[in-house]
Amino acid sequence: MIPTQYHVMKTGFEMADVCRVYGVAELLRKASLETGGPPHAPPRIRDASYMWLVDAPQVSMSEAVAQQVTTDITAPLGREHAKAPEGNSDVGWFLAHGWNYLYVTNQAKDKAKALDTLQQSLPRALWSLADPQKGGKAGTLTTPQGLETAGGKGSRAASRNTYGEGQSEMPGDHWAVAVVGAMAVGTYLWPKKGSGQGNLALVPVPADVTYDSHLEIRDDLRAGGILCPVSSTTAVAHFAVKLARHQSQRQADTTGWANRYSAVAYEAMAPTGQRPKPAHGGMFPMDALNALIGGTQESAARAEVVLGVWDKLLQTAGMNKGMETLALTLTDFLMHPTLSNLERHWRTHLRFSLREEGDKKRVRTFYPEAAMEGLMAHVTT
Amino acid sequence: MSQRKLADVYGNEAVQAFGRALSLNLRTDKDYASLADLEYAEKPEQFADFLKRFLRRYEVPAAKREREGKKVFRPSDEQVRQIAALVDEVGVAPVRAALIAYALVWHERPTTENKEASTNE
Repeated sequence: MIPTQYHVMKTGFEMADVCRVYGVAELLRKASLETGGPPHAPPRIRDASYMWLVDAPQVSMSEAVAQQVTTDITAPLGREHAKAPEGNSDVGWFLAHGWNYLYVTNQAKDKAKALDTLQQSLPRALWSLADPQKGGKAGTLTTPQGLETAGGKGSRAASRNTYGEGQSEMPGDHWAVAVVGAMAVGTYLWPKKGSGQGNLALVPVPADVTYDSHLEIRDDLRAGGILCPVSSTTAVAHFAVKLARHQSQRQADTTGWANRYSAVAYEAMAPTGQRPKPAHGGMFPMDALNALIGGTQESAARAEVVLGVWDKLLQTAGMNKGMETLALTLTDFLMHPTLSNLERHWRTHLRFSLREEGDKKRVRTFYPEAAMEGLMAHVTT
Repeated sequence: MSQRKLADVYGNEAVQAFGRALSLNLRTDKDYASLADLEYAEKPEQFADFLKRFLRRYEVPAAKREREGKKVFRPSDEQVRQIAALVDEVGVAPVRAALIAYALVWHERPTTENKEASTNE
């Protein structure tokens, strides 16, 4: 098979961009499986600053393959939002879960129309990946708020006379590919009704990722339990810690290489009396976590212990009312890894560990000595 | 200020000695006042104040354990000098952070202060 390189240009709509690159990888993978492609040549995604590079074997496309891939992706999308199945083997449930999130602010008729459009757009997108001459022209489509909250609210017009907040649009093929990527790899959190919490979308941003190994990490993350619900930022921090932990476990277990992620793209919506509204979003940096993991099996093994401590602390803080400062100080350090933030978190940790025996808020999680020394080796005084 | 790694400060013999003493006082004798003094120390003179108060507070339960015939750990004069010199070199914040970190590390169970049998026989 001839390897091919795809260039996925970044547009500045961060969440839509990262979903689009995963969408390219997912479609290439599905098409390759349908055509009996080489099982050990999964797509590889690398960040090249203003674009991503996706390396994959060339796809032999046909009408049958395009229709089969489209059917595999779109068939489960009519499902109503239902409780998560046991384990994470129900791929269809996760596709429908992602689809429902992307169109969370739309009415049912708009969602049904979008599904029709997706069923028509996907074969065209698949052909354009196999042979750009055959892709055909696609119009523009409205960016759904669940895919990109910034795009969902639009942007000001150039002239003051025509200020408005109409929704942004994106090319039809980009929209289809981004929607596929969002459904395939996104993690979506729906709050309980009446809890006052908002929706949250999380997608790891690839720096150098093998797609099949990313899907394994995705499955582990989906089975990994509740993220710290103190705030949307602590939930993102907890997701980043779990992601780093899976990276470090793989690096420690294998030949010292594992997927690298530069950030976790996140977008939060706030609940209102009607539809959820955009709240905030951004890129949660993974620089400090990647530096901790390092480049060798030994460094990854030490990092995994520290990450296990942080995972436990965030889990404990999320389960007990009154321990919010423990989660917030750790999140602050992970976002801004300075000595003063680290010390502030350690003071909080120490105070919770000194509570009386029998107090539910007493923390019993400590660092092994080698792990603490490994962490300190990355902190400049 | 030096750009040393925190691991270098943590590995300093004097920091290890005072970290051990502080951790013992916090967990066994509930000396939260020393923790508060340490947390509020920003300047070298405030850190010197913390050292003075902490050593005085540490001495009371240490002397009691000694009277009971137990072996007692005390930071030495040399270690006091070393930690003061380290504060002059790197500043208060890294030394403070390293001392607090020591109390968050899982160490082997202490073998002297609580477990040794009386040596009077």
